[in-house]
Amino acid sequence: MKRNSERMLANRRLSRRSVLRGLGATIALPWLESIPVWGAEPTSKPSTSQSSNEPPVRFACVFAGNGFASKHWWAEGEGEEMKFGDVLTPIAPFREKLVFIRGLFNANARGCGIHSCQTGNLLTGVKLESGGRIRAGVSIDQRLAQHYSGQTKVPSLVLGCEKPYAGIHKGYSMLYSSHISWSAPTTPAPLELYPAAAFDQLFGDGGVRRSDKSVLDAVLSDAKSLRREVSTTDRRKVDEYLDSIREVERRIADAGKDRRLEGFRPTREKPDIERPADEIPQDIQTHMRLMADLLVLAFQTDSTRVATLKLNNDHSAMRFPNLGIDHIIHHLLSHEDENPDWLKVNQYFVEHVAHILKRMDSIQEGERTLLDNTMLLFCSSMLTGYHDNSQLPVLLCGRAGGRLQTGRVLDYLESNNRKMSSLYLSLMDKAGLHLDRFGDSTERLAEI
Amino acid sequence: MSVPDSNGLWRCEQLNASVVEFGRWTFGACCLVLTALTLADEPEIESLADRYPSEVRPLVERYCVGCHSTDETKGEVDLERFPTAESVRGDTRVWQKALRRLEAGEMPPKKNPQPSDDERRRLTTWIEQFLVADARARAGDPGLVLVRRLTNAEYDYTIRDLAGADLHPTRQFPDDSVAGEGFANTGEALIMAPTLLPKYLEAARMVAARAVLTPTGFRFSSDDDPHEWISQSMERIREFYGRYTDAQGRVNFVPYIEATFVLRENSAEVNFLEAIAREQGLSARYLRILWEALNGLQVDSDSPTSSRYAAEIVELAQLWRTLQAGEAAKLVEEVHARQAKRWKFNTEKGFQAYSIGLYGKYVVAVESEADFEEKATTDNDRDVVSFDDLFPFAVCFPDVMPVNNDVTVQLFHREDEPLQRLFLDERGNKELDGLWGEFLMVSRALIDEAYNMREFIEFQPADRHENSDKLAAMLPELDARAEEYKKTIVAAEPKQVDGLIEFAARAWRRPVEAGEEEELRRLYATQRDVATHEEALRTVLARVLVSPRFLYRVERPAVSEGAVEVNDWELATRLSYFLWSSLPDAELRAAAAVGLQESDQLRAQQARRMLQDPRAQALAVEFAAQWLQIRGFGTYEGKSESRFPTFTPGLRRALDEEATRFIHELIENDRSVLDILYADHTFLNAELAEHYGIPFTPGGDSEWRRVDGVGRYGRGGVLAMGSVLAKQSGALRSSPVLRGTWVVDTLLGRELPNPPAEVPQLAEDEVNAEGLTMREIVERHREDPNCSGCHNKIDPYGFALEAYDPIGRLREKDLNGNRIDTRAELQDGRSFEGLGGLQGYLRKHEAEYLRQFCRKLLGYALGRTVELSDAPLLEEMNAALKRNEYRFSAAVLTIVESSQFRQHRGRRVASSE
Repeated sequence: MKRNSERMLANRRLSRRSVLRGLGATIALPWLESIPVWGAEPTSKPSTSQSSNEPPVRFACVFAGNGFASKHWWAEGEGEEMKFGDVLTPIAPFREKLVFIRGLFNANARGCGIHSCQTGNLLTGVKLESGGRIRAGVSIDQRLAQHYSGQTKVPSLVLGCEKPYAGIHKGYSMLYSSHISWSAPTTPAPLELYPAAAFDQLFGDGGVRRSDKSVLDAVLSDAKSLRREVSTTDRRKVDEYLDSIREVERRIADAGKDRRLEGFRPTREKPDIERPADEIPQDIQTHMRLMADLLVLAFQTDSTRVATLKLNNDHSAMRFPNLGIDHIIHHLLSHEDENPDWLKVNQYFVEHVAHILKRMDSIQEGERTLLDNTMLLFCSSMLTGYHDNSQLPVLLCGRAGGRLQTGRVLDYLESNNRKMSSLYLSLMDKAGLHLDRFGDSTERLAEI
Repeated sequence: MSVPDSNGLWRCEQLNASVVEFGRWTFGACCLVLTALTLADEPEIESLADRYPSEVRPLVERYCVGCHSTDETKGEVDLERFPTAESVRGDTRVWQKALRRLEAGEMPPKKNPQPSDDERRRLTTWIEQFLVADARARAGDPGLVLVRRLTNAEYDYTIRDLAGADLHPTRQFPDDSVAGEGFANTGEALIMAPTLLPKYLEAARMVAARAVLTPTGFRFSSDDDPHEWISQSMERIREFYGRYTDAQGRVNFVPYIEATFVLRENSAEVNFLEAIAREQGLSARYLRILWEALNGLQVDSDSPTSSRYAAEIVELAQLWRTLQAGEAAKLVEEVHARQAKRWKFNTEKGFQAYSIGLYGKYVVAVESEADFEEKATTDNDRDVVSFDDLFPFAVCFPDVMPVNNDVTVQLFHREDEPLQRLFLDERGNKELDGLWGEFLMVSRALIDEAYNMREFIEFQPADRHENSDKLAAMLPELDARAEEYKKTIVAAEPKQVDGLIEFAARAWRRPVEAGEEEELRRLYATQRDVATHEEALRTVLARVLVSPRFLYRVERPAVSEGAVEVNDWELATRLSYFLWSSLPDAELRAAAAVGLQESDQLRAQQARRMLQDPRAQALAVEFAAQWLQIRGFGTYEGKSESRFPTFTPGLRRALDEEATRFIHELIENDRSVLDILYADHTFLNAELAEHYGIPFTPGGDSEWRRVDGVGRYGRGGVLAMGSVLAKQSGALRSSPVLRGTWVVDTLLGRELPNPPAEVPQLAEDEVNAEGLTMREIVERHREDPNCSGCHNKIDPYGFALEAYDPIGRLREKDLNGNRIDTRAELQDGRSFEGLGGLQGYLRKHEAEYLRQFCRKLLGYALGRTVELSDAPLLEEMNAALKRNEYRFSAAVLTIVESSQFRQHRGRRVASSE
């Protein structure tokens, strides 16, 4: 009662009812969305390198930490005849749309120790810096994001299902265990753990409104003047800020524009799922599934063409009560290569990949499916839980718009060139990004 | 090794013993650096450098570069890339590592060609001397410190102190990573990204939306709902009234009368009177008025007062003279009886100060106009102090809001004249007026009232003309008040805009420069053109908070070849983020304005003050808990819920808080940093006490209490904290290996090599088929010669803690039902048992612990990795601790005085990196 009459203090209008009962309706006065403070239409034009109506080639990397049960990670045969080890049974239905790759490795992730220093450079191929410093090179997904820049609402999605760690492990920041996407050599792309925030990036205002333009302009000029006042080393940090502001401003400028007139029209414009709840889902199943669905939806709506999804961290502390495995964390379980529980957890991860493949393959984009237009790399930073990264587990799914011949098993173990970075050069080719070198490689991978 | 003087040999031995562990800053090494500073005949860096190409480089090429080449970089070590001694100085870390391996005889590997003894000695001696000379030459170098974004924690603390409301805007931000010495406040780990920036924007809007405009500027609320601001504003008025009255606005006279007895017994001297009032929480003003009335006198004066007192008061005063201490109630009964005679209430419940009614003008509730007349009959002779003047029925109307089930046109009612007149001094009156001014502005009540009244008149039934007329007659006054009020709103606007500048200075942690002020005002003005004043204000607030000047701890070094002092504001900011993880407060800002760099006394005084401030709790969490790897234990999820049902979220939070309270108390009371290891007390709440099996009776207001003598329950110090013990365990078992590693690595800072790739796995469940204890399982593992080398250095310390189960409870038997064995035997034959034994061992190795503590604290304070050039400072910290009974402040003050803390590299130097 008291509360109601207190509310009345702020009321400007009173109905008879409210006068008589001392009650009133409230008037909310949100300040930022109320008035279009910034009137001018954006003038910058997005770049339009994708000129045809061809569906674009998308790139995704789905990561699982700590490797797999080594005896059950294998594939043999071709096409319909392809057979898989137990870890991979969930993706067997897609055998004709994937390539099982054996024997690749990341030379710069070897000889430095275990975990953190094996993982941070998985997608960069560059040597990691230790001793409390952080440097990892630019990752393939972020290179592709730059390549596609301006053509989609969001340059890339960087998703995760497990919180990053704060710690130093054997001289290497555990940031390396939690981050595989790097937008600049010293800047990991932040991991988005909140499905709702990822959804907002794709379909909402991404936390930015047009009325923020004046604020952004002002702080951009702060940053520019700051850049002149700080030391050269600090400029790198100021540049991170500057670039972020510019990117956000670009998104505001692009918002509401119909990019689709110029090129590929996605099969869906609006999301077909509800905005997820604000909080991080309590159970792993819901969390992973939501992130997987968002990844698919992001590609389907062409909101972005590049995504990474870390199902868990390297050195992961996840437990799996949903599988009846709550007595041990993922990392420690990974040390029990032959434990049936380990296999079970591996399969569980692969089921999420299978789910993504299934969803993608059910989305028709002209004559091909979304899966056909995608290159999805499923990998870990070690083959087994014993930190063995002399070769890496790699599964390449999708057909890169028909540019990738699938239904094959490729074995590079005896090959002269078995660099992950070479695979990345080949994959970037298929997305139209032709580089002379990447990471520690200057040559393409044979057969890809 | 060629050292000329007679002490040389001894020094060399020291050198050899110590430099083996150079990377970990043995005190030996630090002492040596200091000794070297005083010895003129120690080789100079130049002469050492001269010898590198001819004497050292060839040895490195012959024995090392085969594997440690730029191409191969075996073990991450590339020794090929050092053509000159100058290049060696460019990266001394790898040479420290090389030295350790050479000293330990681990390198070159046995299968490779070995240097002769002489060659090995030449090589190690040169490296040692060169490293020492280099450290000496660079001593005090502020080092390379990247500009730092506020960590999430710092952002939250900063907003808390800036807005006065704990809003936790970073709740959904990605967690910060760590770098440097393992802390989040290190520039390398603090990134910005296009996906992150909108979160900062949103956080800034969130804070700006909570700005509440007041007549003098703005303050912040915990809420963004204007209705809540009204409620909060009203609550502040009620709280003010509540200092003097009950919820009905009535005064309890008993303590006042009792106080007059005290005055009568002792002294009625003003200072004494005020002291009594303060002690009893009474209004000094009213006590004095009452004293004067009851004595018919003015205080401190024998002359009769100018006022006459009404007969009723004289009667009461007579009664008062007959009463003794403890009998005040008798007088108060008399007062109440007289009040009751003067006021009649129609309600059955008697007096209730809620029913002001349409014409409400009186604080006392009346249900009919007839009651007004009762009051009208009272004595209004101005020269006479009447009974009502001295003993008002109520002194204020604490509800503020008239709540009436029938009709409420009036939106507030202020009646507190008796309170002001009798109880408040000038400051109190000013505060109350301020609260009301704010309430009126927040609620816009005066504007709304005039509007409501018109609406209300329209709704009057046609047959109630006289009502409408009566109401209409009130309109001019309401309108006038509304108009007057609109003027005050407009008058406040410039003050609120000025408030923006002041806010920016606080947020940016330095005075706002003229150009910046101009820009902020211009932004306000352009926004004001298209939006309301309030909206424009909020936009500028958001702009201040998204600025890199706020989000980053910006330092603007002068152009200089060498190191230069940071300016006073930068130093104040370094200090406040070191000790509080937040921005400087008013006092520290004042110190900065006076010149913090100029006065070591001022710096020390501020640092001491800040350590005792509650905000220093951040140091316990962000530094100590992070160092000890228990930060965020409240959300730790590493245990099996089914096996450990008592390991509830509540218990986890309690374990987290135990550590925070323990460390914070140590900082606050400046205790010995050795207490971290040996304290005999801890902090408990009921749930935690039960977990620990310690008898507990809650005391005081808090559910938490310090409990001493916990040693006999196997607690005390961080080694026995459930958070540490549970964190360093498996999900289903204790882990002597993890706990041992934690002792050796985290607490003592000893270097441990990486485990080999193929390690046999230990059972993950204490309940295992073989029925072995964890100790037995680990010991079996150690039988493997590949494992024993390291595990002998780790496991004994963990065995000593085996009496604690996987969630940190004391136990005599493990989950298999086997008896626990806590004996620890070291390689050198020494042995000890249990927590006490381990603490005894640590007492003998205190130097290592102190070295580690200093290193971590310094790394945290500086936001970077500790370098060779910091060795002398670490030694100074250690010496200061020793001189000052190991008090926490000794280490802090040494850092605060250091050139590392007070300087940064000049701009030109930095740009050559």
